[in-house]
Amino acid sequence: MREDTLKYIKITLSVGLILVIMVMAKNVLVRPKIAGQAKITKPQKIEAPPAVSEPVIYDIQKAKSVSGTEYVSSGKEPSNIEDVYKMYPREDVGDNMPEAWARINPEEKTKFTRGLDEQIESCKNLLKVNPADKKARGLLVISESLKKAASADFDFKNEKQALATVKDGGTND
Amino acid sequence: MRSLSKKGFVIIIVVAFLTVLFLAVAVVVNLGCGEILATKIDNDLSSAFYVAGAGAERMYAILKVASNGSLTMTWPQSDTLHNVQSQDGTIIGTYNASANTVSTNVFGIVSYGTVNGRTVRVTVKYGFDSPVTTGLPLGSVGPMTLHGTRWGPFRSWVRADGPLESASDITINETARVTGDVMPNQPLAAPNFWLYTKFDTKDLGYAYSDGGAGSITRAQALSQNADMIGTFDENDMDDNGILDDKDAFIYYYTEYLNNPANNSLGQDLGINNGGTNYYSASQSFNPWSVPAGTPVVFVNGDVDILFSDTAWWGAASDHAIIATGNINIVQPTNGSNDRLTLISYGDVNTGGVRAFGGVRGDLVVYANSGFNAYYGGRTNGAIIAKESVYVDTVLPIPGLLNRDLKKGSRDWSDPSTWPLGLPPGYITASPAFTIKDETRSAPLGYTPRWQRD
Repeated sequence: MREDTLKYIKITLSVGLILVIMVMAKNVLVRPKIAGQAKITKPQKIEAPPAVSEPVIYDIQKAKSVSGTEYVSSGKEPSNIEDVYKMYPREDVGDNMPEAWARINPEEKTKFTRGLDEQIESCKNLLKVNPADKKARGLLVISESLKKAASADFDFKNEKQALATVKDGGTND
Repeated sequence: MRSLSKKGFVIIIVVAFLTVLFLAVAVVVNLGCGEILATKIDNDLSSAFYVAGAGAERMYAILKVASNGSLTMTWPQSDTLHNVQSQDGTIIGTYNASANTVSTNVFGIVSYGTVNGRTVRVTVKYGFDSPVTTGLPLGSVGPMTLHGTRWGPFRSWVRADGPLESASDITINETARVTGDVMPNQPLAAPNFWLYTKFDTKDLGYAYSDGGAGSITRAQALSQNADMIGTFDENDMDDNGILDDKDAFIYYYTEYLNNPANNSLGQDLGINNGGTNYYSASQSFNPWSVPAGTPVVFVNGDVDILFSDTAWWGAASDHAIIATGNINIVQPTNGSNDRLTLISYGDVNTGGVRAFGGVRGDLVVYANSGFNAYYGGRTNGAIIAKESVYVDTVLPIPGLLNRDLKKGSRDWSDPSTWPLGLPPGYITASPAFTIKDETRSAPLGYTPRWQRD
């Protein structure tokens, strides 16, 4: 082999060696020296479910339901619960009780009314023994009222008239 | 000579190739190790960030519970050296979290997450209000019982915001949950309706001695001072021949509060005996019974109510019912802008169904006897009973009969905005702090600010 050929080989090897050293040096230089130089993932907050706000609406003429339905008072007052839910937005009057009651599982309803009957019977027995039992009296009143409401499916078509007769027990001076 | 020259050349070539090979292997190994190391550091730091985030979230949860009715809050708070585990139980890392105030209305949580010796710090700031005065969500001078119901797998829950305070015992069973403070055996005193010396209902200048009995009969008064019997008769508001707390109760409302000079509305309330809003006997009320806009009614007897005694729809309704007997209200209902106040010299009983309806605004109760809540329902507000508080879901019908007792939505810092008819000495609570609404910007709320250091 000629001298000049060997010379080229040596030059090539030297250049290759320098390149290899440069690559290695670059690799060493880019390695993070401290933890803070590592790639940082954008912080993420654990999101809570969106809060449901219930805006306070004082002017019913401007009131709108969540669904955007506009409720405009016709000046006529509702005469029963059904009218109340038709004429006013949910945030003002609450859940539509007859509709919500209708969605409840019939088995649950039966269990509920059967439970009320048992409580009514139990309270009556307690009051026979001790007529001054305040808890029994309170539970009896609530149970009987709930039974009445449930049997009407919480839908009092003629509530105004029906309960007005009960009011006659007292006197409004 | 030529063969020797060739041998020398081969040696050079071999050495050169070995050198290149060695260098190539060294480069590959170096590159690989460097990447592995960098990736591992990256993973550790990412894990440490999430561990620190978990610590901050847990610290927030602790403070959030405290803001649901805690009456005491001391700074700083800390939650230290907790392991964070993966689903298979392997420990991922540990965190140290602490919270302290940053300014008057801002607190910060600092959480350090450490994974394989590498630590990341996360800070987050929240806004808070302190203190907030409201009516005490649930209080009693006598014993308090919260009783959910469980029959096998079927349960109905009692869930209360708190704080709960009682001058006696508080009993909470396994199907009742309270998020705020539960404080039994507190020095609570019931509101007092005597405006002047006891048994001198109208400040007529002569008080009788009852010997600690709590009441005095006409005959006993006569034996003390026969000349003052006319005064006794005048002080005996309900003409039953006995001077007791009930006379003070009746006088306080029908004469004192009815006077425009003594109520926040500055008007005649019509609850004097014979007034427009005075009912002389027991009543059954429904939403059409009392004209809309009536601020207060007084009933000399018991009251049964279905939903409400007045229209709760339409304009905001701030309405009070005062009764000398018991108040029974079934499925109390109102809108988010309404406040219903029930003041009873006897018991207040309520019950309903949680699955629908319920109080969306506030319900404020004072029962001079007991407060009893049966079955399910939702109330927001303040409930105080001189005797016992008894909450019982009775039947284990999940969903239908849960009972939620939430704190009210209104600020009671200014006494002039308190509900009309509230007894003197009604118990309020000032929870140490409340975390501001995170969905709204200042001043109504405060958007949390997260930062990784």
